[in-house]
Amino acid sequence: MAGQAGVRGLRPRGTALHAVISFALRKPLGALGGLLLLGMAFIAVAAPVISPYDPLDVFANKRFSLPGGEFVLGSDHVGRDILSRIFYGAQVSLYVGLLSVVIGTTAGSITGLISGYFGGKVDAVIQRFVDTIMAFPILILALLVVTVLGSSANNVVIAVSVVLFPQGARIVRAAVLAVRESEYVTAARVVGCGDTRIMFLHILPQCVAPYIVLATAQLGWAIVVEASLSFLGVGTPPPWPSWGNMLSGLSRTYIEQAPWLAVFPGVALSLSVFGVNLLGDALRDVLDPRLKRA
Amino acid sequence: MQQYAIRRLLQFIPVVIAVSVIIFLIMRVLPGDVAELVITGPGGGGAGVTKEEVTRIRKELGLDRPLPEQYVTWISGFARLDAGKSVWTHSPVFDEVGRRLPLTMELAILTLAFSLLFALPIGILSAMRQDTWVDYVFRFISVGGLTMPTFWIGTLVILALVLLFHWIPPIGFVNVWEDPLKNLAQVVWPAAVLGYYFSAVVSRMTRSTMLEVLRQDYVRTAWAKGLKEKVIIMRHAMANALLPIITISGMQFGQLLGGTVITETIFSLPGIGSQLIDAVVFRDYPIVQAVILIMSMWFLLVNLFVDLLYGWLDPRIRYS
Repeated sequence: MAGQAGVRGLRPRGTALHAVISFALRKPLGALGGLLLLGMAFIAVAAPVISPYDPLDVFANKRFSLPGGEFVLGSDHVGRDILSRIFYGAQVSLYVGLLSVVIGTTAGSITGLISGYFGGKVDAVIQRFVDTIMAFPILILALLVVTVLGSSANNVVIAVSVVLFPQGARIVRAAVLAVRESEYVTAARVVGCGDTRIMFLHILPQCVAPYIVLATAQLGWAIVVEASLSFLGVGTPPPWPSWGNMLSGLSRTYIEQAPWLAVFPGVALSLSVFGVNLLGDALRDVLDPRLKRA
Repeated sequence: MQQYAIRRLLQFIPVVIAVSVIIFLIMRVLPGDVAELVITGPGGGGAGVTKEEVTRIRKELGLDRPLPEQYVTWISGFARLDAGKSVWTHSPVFDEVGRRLPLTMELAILTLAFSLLFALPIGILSAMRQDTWVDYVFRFISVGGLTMPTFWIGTLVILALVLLFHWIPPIGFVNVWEDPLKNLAQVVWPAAVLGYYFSAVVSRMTRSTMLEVLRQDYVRTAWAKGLKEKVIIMRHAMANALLPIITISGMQFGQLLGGTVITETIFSLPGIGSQLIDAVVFRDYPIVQAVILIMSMWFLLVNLFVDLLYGWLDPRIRYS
């Protein structure tokens, strides 16, 4: 890290903190995205503490309250505080998003690693399997899984993991193919390293960069898919708040009398996905400048 | 080209079969006895279920026969245009789905038109004026399409329409053959919303492809010759940029059917998207199977077509 241009005034040292600071200075948009994501995480974790009301508490005589006053963002058609529901909705989105990325992208990456390294028949079989999963449009596949398993946050995690899996497999496999014939890999094999050792010690580090870029992009997707499923009524079951199910059917019926029912959850959703996308784009620019900048 | 086409077709067939098997199996592994679900209805619980009734329903739906036989019956039924009966309305699945399919097709085509209409000019202009305010504005607009979930954009559009124009969501639906104008008025907004979402991806691709093409030597020669910018873009740059753009548009078109599910639900359009959701909620599994099969086939066919088209258009593949 010595002599990095653009890190003004900071003596370059190899600590993680300086990596983060130099990243923030070089890519302010990415830093903004990171802040948004951190904000969302903070809200999700601190929801029980910072919410003025319980998200499930019903105040039947105060339905459709306007924003401001007793309920900061107003109350919904049943009489629950929207602000608290948005805070708790962040929990769902983050939980489902992070967990499905960890499971789906990691499972996909390991599969891609195996598939790319061994090649031949193993590769062909695995790729057919991946192709089959990719044959379904994203939402349809998630819908299918949730139909079979039933609507719950955990089942949504499973559904989204399945959806994210093939992309991870494809991208990591491509990275592995690029590295497989390198000299150090051949050297390791000549020295007598076993397959597992070569895969995880030598090839895997080369795949970390695409994995990180992919994981951030897929986090955005995961959040949107969860919201879509909840919106359609097959995701997080009501009355527990998810930004998606806050936007669904009923709030549309009342849209003329109470537009704030629909606006705020959508804003929360958009800001979160926006932050994740910004961060992902910036990470991609930094980690792999060879990739086309869109 | 022939080799390429044959190889592509050979890849296509096993995937189609695998997809149909998966769809078939998933519906058969639904937790809870399907026959019981049929009797008790969507809410579950309620009327007591006698063993004889369950057995009768199972026989009627053919659930007591071995799985492979069920699969064959189902698939061959498709060939004979008989996909069973909806457990909810008891009318043939083909009729039910067939009635609603044209609307979704219309929505899909209109969406494709909108997305290209948005994406191509935005992408090209962005590339031509890279890093100027024009570029930033357009990139911001297209990022908006990616970040904001379709159902939210749709909700906002409905909100705007309701508040600004006092538009009331139409109850009935008008067929395009009966009254084209009214039909278009109903479909144009969902198509625009969905089109905006898909245009985000296409416009980014257009921009990056154009950027690459504009750096090429032959474009520089054209500039040096003194050709007008418009001519350079239209005649020289576009042709080369089109290949990846077509590929991406094709892939997006395939994904469209997934997007119509949400849009149709929001705008209350009776297409197969909303039909799928209703069927899922009501556990009307013949309809769920049929619709998902149609959507997957659509997706696969579009991908196949795009691959073949790409192979034909790209001279490197065509003459190899």
